[in-house]
Amino acid sequence: MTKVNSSTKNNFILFAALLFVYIILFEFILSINKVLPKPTLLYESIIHIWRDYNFFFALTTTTSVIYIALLLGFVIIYLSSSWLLKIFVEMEGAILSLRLFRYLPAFFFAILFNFWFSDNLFAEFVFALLATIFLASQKLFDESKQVKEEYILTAKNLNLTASDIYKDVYWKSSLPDLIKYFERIHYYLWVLVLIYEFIGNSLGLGFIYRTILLYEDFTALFTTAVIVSLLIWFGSFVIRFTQKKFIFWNS
Amino acid sequence: MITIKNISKEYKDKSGFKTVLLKNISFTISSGEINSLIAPYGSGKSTLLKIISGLEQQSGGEIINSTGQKIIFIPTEPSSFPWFSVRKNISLGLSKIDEAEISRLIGLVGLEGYENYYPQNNSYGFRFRISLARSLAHKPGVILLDEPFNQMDIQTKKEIYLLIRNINATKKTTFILATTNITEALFLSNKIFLMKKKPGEIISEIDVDLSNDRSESIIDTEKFVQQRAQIENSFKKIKSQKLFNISI
Repeated sequence: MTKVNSSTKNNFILFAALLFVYIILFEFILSINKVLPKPTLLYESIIHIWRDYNFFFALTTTTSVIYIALLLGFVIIYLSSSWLLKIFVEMEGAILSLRLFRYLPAFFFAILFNFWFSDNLFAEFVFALLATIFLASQKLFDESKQVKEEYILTAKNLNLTASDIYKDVYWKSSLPDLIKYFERIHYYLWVLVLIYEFIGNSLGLGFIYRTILLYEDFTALFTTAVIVSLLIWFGSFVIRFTQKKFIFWNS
Repeated sequence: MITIKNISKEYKDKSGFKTVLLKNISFTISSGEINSLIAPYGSGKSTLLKIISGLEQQSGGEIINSTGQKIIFIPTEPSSFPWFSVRKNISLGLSKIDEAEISRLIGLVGLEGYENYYPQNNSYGFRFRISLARSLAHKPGVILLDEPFNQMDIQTKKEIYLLIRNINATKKTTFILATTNITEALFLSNKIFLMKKKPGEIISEIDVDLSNDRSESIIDTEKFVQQRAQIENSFKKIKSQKLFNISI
């Protein structure tokens, strides 16, 4: 506990020091530059982007797509876990050969979805949901190969049904690392959805980034980045909290 | 009674080379006894136990379980599932749960007070007690123990030895213990099978001539020391068999 507190304290001190340097350097010494905006401009820009860029609507769109896809993706993986794990365990070779698809860049799928369903919020949601399911399934597949042999032997020896073995042994054993991985999926999803919206040029924060680029609004670029990073930080915190609260065992 | 008849096990390694792990293993396990298999590491003891429990398929031979009793295998790494409470761990796989019986078994293995505890990062002894209680909940005729004492401290070992002897005496459960440790096999068993490796074969069968009422002090008796020497000599007779990994 002391170690955690000390780490949080150190992070806070570092953050405060950097903020202090930033304010002094860019407010008073280098007030006109192309590296970072003036702190006062950044502050004013927070109000300005809500009004000029319809920021609330974009923020709601993007966060809804990401968090509903993340939640629904987990529920789908959970509900189909017995069936998925059965396929993963019994058809390992076929699954391994399918992994070739992971080398296709996500950028390609973002363009493809925009090409198929342009200017469509539902298509954006389906894209985010599929990305979540794909990434989570991949992790579940990796975890299914790490389940301790003695767990499987014991379960088989106790005559548990195949479905119970997948549900009570494989799924439960994979869950801690899968939830941990959801923090990473959450981050990937932010990047993917922002790319999707940037390409689509009609919805969400990705669209705002594109507009900012178009108007060369240097300050708004930074303000949006700060707000997005705060949202990502908060999302990660919620996932970590959920894991600590509900998944108390190690795999 | 369980009869192991001409069991053999062959497998091919990655380069396609065929290895004979077990060759013509034959012996009989009498009901209500504790039997031990003493063999060096890598001789196929674990594989043999898995074959007896039906968890692995043999290449040849047969297992005749004349009483049709349930056979439970406890692996070297005793598996307690950390996502289930001790009570749930013990009742796992039961079609009908008798809560009073589960409580009685928890008491029998010395886990009272831990019923609702989640076994995470616990000692081998703790996890073995859970595995043992879970096995007993299934009312098995035979319990197979695959080197369960390797990672336990001396005090826990002694407690578990006496617990196994007690369960054997009161419930008439048959135990088959695979081990490399002559002293523990001798202390626990009614009969000992010596096994060599490459390929795994039974080379000798020894009836343990000790009283059924065993306490720690029996280890220092002349009879015990003599029997231990007899087993050591049996191993030494096989010149090709290295003894460095057999603990005395």
